[in-house]
Amino acid sequence: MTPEQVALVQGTTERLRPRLDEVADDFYRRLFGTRPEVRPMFPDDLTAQRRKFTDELTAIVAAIPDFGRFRARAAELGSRHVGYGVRPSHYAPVRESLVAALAAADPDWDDATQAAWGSAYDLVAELMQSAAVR
Amino acid sequence: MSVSAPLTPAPPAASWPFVARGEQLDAIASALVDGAADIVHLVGPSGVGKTRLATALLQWSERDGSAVARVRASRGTAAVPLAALTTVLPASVLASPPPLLVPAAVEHVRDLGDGSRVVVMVDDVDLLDAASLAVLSHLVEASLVHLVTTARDDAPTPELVLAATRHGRVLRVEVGPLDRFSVATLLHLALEGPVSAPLEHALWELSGGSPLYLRELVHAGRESGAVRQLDGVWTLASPLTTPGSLRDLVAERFGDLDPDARTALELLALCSVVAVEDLEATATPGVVEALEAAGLVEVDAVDGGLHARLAHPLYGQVLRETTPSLRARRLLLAQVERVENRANPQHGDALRLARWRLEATGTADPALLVEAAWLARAGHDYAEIERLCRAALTAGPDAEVSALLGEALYELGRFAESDGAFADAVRTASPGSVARFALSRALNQFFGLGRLDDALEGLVEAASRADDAGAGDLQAARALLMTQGGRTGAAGDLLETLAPGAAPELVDRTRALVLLRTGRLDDAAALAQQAWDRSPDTGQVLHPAGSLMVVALARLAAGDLPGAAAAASEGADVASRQGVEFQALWLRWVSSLVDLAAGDVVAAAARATEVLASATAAGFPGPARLAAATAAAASAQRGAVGETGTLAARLHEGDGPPELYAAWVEVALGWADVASGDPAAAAERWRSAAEEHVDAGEVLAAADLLHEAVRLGDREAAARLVTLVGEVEGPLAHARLRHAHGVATGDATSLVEAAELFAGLGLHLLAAEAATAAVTTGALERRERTRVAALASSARARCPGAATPALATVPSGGGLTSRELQIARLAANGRTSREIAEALVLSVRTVDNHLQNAYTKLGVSSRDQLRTVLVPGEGVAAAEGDAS
Repeated sequence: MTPEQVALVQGTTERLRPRLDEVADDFYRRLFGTRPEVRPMFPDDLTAQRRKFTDELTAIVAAIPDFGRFRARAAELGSRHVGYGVRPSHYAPVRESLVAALAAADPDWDDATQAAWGSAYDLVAELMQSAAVR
Repeated sequence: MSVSAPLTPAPPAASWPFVARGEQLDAIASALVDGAADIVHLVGPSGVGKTRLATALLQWSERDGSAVARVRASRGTAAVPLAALTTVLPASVLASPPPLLVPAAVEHVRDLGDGSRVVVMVDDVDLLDAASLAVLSHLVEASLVHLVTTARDDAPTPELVLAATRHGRVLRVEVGPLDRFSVATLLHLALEGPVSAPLEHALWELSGGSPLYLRELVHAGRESGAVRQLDGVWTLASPLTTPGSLRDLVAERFGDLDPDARTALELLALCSVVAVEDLEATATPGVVEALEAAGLVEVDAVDGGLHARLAHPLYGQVLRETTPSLRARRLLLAQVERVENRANPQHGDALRLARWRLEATGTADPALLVEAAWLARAGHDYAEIERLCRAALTAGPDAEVSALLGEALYELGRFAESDGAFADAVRTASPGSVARFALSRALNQFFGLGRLDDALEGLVEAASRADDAGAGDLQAARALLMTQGGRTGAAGDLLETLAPGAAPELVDRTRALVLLRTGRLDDAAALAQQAWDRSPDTGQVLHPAGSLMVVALARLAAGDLPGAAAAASEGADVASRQGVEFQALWLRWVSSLVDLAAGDVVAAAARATEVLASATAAGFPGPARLAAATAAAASAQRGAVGETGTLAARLHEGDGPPELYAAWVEVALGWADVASGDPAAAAERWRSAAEEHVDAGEVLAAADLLHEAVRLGDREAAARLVTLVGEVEGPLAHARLRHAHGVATGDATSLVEAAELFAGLGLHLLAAEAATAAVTTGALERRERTRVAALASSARARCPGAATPALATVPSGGGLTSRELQIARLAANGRTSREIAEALVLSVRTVDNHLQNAYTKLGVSSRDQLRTVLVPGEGVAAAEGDAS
């Protein structure tokens, strides 16, 4: 990521902080709409899940500038996700749903922001996957 | 129990993150687990990350509980047969004598896998030697291993992969460069921090998404200070100066190395694999460790200790190009000395030493060179054999070496040079070995140079100098060549007086061929089958799959098409698996004969054309000639006039041994006559060729030729075929006889009988032709006529594309003069009047006159109508009107 992209990503989470629950719900709706087969990986009641999602998103975005912290956070996330039955083929639909949910909520969204979030997600996804195989 | 090399994890500095391949990796791994593929073949440009992906797959398999091994082929391992497999098989297995090697390897890998398949990664599989390929292909065949192979996209695909591809057992994966997003991700992860937009952009533009290039660019940039971290962000401090290509970039990097490291790398580039202790003896202790940390060298633990190699083939290429030759010589000779003095010699040392010496000095100890040449032979590396033998022969004549050279040159398709080498071998041979060399020479003279008389003469001459067993072999070999060259009568006589002691496979093969050609088909098939069952893997002189060719031909002649097809395809598979392409091509040619006999003219033409292309490419004139003949006959029988002409021209050019299976060539040339509108010439050709074959004791061939003429309704040929009654055994001969009797006497009942017999054997085109002939006699009762017409239609429907004259509903000569018929047929096949005029040397006006007469007599008014009447389509049914 470029420093500009890091700033764009952090700008989005800053703006959306009060509405992150809404973003989370929209994200899950989109994800289960396109990939219904992943629904059973989640609990029936998504209330707790929503909280995990917003906390993790905030924390990991905040950690980007500090690579060591960022890597450790993503790696831990990756190891946990192996246990949920996550496969490499799941990363692309999640990326798409997440970016779409953020774009729908962020009034200042533009192409550069879209690219920045794509990069951020790819970084996290790669770190998660390399942690998953350890 | 595992002898596989542990996967040495590269140290952090050398290891770049592996990105953007997760989903691909997952899909490939699933394919292996599901058993959807035996081989995963990764293809892509140099530096794109194929090896990295393969390694990840291997690691995945290991975590999944599979035993794994890693084979790395290189220019160096290619020179030493089986050397590449030292990471899979222990030295004790690799040292097994050739017939025991595969069983030993199978047993070892079975133990290693312990009930599941071993996953073997083969890097740069196109550089793997033929012996290693053969072993791996047996292991794949036995379902004992999964292979993960890599190859550059401009490298040839090895037969191992092609064969499995034909069986649908290969997952081919194109590994492409990274996209821009992935490059950004990779940089961020590798540099462990954000990267400024200008730097990211510059690196993306320059690297084109190649991970190796990217890594070299970053390395060069950090060394020069152009790439540096400021306030936690990687930036471009000054423009990246790039030497243009990855190759140049690598060259520049090596230019900056300290002399010790450079020396170690140069030695690795020259020798491919070097023991770590040897490298440290050349340079200083610790240098290997430093090079490994820099990601330039990889170290494997193998049977004998630690072996180092360059981390990427590109490094070797660059280093070899930039190492001065005197320096290379000094490094090589020093390494030769170290290996010679080694306490525990290793597999392939002889070949390595000879090769290095030869490369360094242009010569080496002849004994060592010969040993090396034999090793190279085990690996089918003919160019290397030639180099080593020629070097060894400069020290003085040696019959064995000359023969080895002759054999290599034969395999390389350089038949005239091969003859010279074999001549040297025969001249300098002892009485005990002269027969072997003379036999090789004769086979080359016949199959390679097409000189049967010289070959036979040479065998007689050599027999006078050979010992008793040798003289027996030579006599049997003469008989063998005679049967192949259309002189079966003389061959049979020679076998009668055969001296004892000749090699049994030679004698049995020859006897089986004599039986075949004299029409004793059951005995021929039984003897050949017995020879095959007895020794499918150990032919000393002849490849054993040749026995299956005799079985297939005997079954084909008997009308047993499924039996013929099965024997031919088994033989082709065996030969192809063992890398004996020459033999495999012959058997595939026989398969095309089976297609043609069944009346599947399209498949026959396609298969024969494919054999023709492969044989031409491989430089085997014999199979090429016969495949061209079958392709021509099949094309003519589908009415493809232009194609037939082109193929027939190749037969007239006379490439390949003219006497070899000459009857098949005559059959093809006759069909070319038919295609050019001259069936009378075809019948005449076949009749006269048949007489020549009868005189030479070739009864089967004579019957084949005469029956082709019978198919055109030639009464003279039919009458002659009837006189050969009883000479050829089997149901097909019986059906042909009824066919001939019907044509000779105009007896419709015999024709119907023939049609039913042909149909019962699955010879659909012949069935359709005989039934059509029966209908057109006009002698059948109405009800019977309807039944036979239906038989003709249904048989015809099973030979799509067939368009022979006998399928036409207008009886030849039915009102038309032969000239009118000839011109009308050409016109119906799509030739213009001008083309016909040129072909027949007539004026266009004359052609048009004849054509007009034909139109009037046939009651048609256009070429299209002419086609429906003359070119057999649904002709019989159409003529019958109410039949269907």
